Amino acid sequence: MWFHSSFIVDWTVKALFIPLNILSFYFLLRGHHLPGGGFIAGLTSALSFLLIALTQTLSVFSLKWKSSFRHLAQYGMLIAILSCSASLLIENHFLDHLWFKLYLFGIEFSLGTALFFDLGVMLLVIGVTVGFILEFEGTETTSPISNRDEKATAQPTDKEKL
Amino acid sequence: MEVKQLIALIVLSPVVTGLLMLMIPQNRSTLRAFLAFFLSIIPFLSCIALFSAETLPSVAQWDWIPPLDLSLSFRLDGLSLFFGLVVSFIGVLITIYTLGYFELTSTQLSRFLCTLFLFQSAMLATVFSNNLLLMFVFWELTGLTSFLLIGFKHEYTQARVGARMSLFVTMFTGLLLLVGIILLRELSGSFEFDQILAMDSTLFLTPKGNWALFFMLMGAFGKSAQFPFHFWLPNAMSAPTPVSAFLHSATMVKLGIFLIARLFPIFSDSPVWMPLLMSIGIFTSLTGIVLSLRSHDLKEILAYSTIAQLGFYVAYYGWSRQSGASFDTLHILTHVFYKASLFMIVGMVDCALGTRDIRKLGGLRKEFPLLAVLALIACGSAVAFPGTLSFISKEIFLADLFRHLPSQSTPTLLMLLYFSLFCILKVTVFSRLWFSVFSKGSTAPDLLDRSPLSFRLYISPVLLCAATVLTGTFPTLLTPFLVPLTQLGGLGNIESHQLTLWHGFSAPLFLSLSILVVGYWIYFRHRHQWNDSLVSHHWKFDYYFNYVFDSLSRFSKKITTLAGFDDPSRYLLIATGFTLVFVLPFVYSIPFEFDYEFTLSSFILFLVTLSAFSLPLFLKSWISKILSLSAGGLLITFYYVSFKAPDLALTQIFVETASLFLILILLRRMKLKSSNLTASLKTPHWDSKISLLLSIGMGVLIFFVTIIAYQYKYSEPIGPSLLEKSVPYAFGNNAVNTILIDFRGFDTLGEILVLLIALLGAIGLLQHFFPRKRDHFKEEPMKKKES
Repeated sequence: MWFHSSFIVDWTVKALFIPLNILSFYFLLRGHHLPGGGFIAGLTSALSFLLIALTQTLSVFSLKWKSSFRHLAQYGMLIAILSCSASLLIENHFLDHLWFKLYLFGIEFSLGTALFFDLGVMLLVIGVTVGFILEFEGTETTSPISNRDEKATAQPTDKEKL
Repeated sequence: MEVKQLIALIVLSPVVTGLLMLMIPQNRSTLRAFLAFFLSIIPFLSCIALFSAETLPSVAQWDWIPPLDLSLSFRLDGLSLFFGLVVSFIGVLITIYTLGYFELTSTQLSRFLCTLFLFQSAMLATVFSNNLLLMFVFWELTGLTSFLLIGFKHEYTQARVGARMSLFVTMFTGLLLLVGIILLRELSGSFEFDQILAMDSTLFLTPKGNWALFFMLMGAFGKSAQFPFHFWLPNAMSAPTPVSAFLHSATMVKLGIFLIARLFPIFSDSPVWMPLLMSIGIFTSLTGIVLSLRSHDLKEILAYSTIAQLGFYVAYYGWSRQSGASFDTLHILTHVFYKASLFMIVGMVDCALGTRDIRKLGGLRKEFPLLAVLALIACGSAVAFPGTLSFISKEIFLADLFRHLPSQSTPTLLMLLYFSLFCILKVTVFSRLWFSVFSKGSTAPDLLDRSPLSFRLYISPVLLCAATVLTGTFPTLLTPFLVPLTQLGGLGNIESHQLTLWHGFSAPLFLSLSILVVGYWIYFRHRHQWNDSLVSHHWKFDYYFNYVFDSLSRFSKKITTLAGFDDPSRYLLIATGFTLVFVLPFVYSIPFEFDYEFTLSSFILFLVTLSAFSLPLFLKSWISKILSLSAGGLLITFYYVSFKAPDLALTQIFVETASLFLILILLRRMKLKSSNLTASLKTPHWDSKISLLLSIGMGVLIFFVTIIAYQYKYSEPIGPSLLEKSVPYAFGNNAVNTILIDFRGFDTLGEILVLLIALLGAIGLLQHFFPRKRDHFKEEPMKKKES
């Protein structure tokens, strides 16, 4: 193992986790009017998980979270599709977004199904980005490039040293 | 309720029920069973409500993508309603049967019910579709869900092979169907079935129309297991019995027949129609019935006889080109009644004894008297014994044949000869089935030591057999049901006939009685020889299918090794090399002017980025190489900033960071020392020179493409109009976001779908690193006696 974890890195990553996710929701919410949106929000949140995966042993992280990220991706897709088809209920076309006006604390908010579509995109991006890495857990090989090189550069694994 | 809401209920309620099955916790098995039963009735009730509605035939439509002429439109007429009623009714019976077939507490039950309900939804949507593209989508969905159902016991090789085979055959023929649909659209200019129907049918008598018909019929043949594609149905018999009873006798295999009936008013004058349908139908039918005689697995016997019966329907529609297919619904209904109940009975025999081999069974009427009576009724119905519905159906068909014999003699005579032969063999097949399982001989005592059958298993076959006998004895019961269906845009006119049991002494009666006698005589004459016969692999076609399949994979493997594609770096060289050789001369031939104004800041940015990207050439350690590449990627952000594109800049930062992490984590997975990794990353000397050459070439290519793309703009750029529309149409100030989720929402939906598929693909590819978990799988659902 050439990746030594250090106390400082560990705790920096843990401290970053919540601010990164708050940032991610901020990106999601403001995306319709200012730079941001579901894709960026998803990547931001995925980064926070990837940082944790990088510092912890991958297997520990993977054991805990593998299936939940798969589910996250699936639910993201589901939310996106449902938000697109919501307007079918009131005889509009597929993907016509609906908008509602909300009054909270005397301030007018407008809420649309577009936000849920963005939320679906965000969840899916998180699920796919992190889930993709976690799928590799348990598939350690000795060869970085290809099957053919495996014979040429077959090295004893470092398992004994670990 | 409105027609539209009823249609939505029919299509969506099975989906909701299916998802509900998955959500109910495992320990609430009684609740699950009750919910499954009661919710499965909803589509049937909705179909009945539609049937009694006054406004038929009609079209219920939701707009989907109006600019592309796509809509969710459903057509209600006699044909679709008939199939809707049959599918939903059999669906209820199959649900009851499933609840008896599996133990209620079984962990597999919820998964099975969920897939079954999803299939039912796809099936109902297919028969009600008005838009041909929509029908195609649901058509393929039935294939997909049936793949899951056939492969339900996926721990068994046979189930996997059968599932794969049926998937390939039905998907391949489904694509042919799509070709036919597109050709039809070329001719008619519409995907909507009611518009095509309203057109003059001489429009479709062109060669192009014939090709459209041919491809669509190929789709129908694949689904209905007609001759070149007949081999998948017997292999699909490895599915649990409720699936065989539902999909492979009553509903899904009838889709091909449904399509042919749909096309009948459009294409029946085509010169291709009668010869193609009659030849394929008759050939399949006779082949199927002979193979059925020579098989020994009970389900295989039924599968081949289903193929034969479907062949009869195909030939029937081919023949009734001029006479009109007046009683087609009645003929189909009889088969649904007896074949579904026969499958259920065979499934019960399998459950009770653990074998389906006809050679090991015998004398079961003493052990299972009720089952023997049910089987007798079902077999009697199959051979059209007087008193069953099939008898009436056959009498009507024979009367039709005799009536048309003088006017169109050759095809009718052929049909008459074929039909007599087919019926005789059918009598032989079902005599053999009943006598050798229930009457003759005896079963080995060790097989008989099994648990008794659940009463829930008996409900559905009892209902079906009662329906056959009741409607067969009092056929006027069916008149209020069948007559409106044929008038609601069905094919022929049924009112000229009256359904009666007794037609008087006539040629059809004598013919059908002699068919019964001859068929039984053939069985009796050879009763000791049936068990020795075998089906030759030339007729099964499995061999050819596997051969084609294996040689395809061998061929691709050979090509791959020949080109050295096992090595990704070499693959990259080949791909870029080809691109350069073919694209660069073409790009170079386009005239262009270079009019870019250098500023000091852009020049500095260029230098810094260039140095970041060229650093890896001189660095030794691989981790610093990756870091400097990543730095170069981050520097590109400044270009976006200088072009005032904050969204792109943000995305670039995050994508760059995320991909750096991904690379680091992936490299860590290889458990190598960094020196080893660097060593293995080194390429041979001549390779690196070629790589350098190709990289420079690629850079030049991209440069030219960018310059040219910058120069040749459309006269009216799309940007300003989208910027204007952003606030009034999408209520958003960020045009990038409104384009992504509103104006081009479909693209985004497609892209995230691709991401999800990539994840699923990775899961599939990495599966072989993990040992399979086989031990938790239970063998047969009913074998609880051993414990």
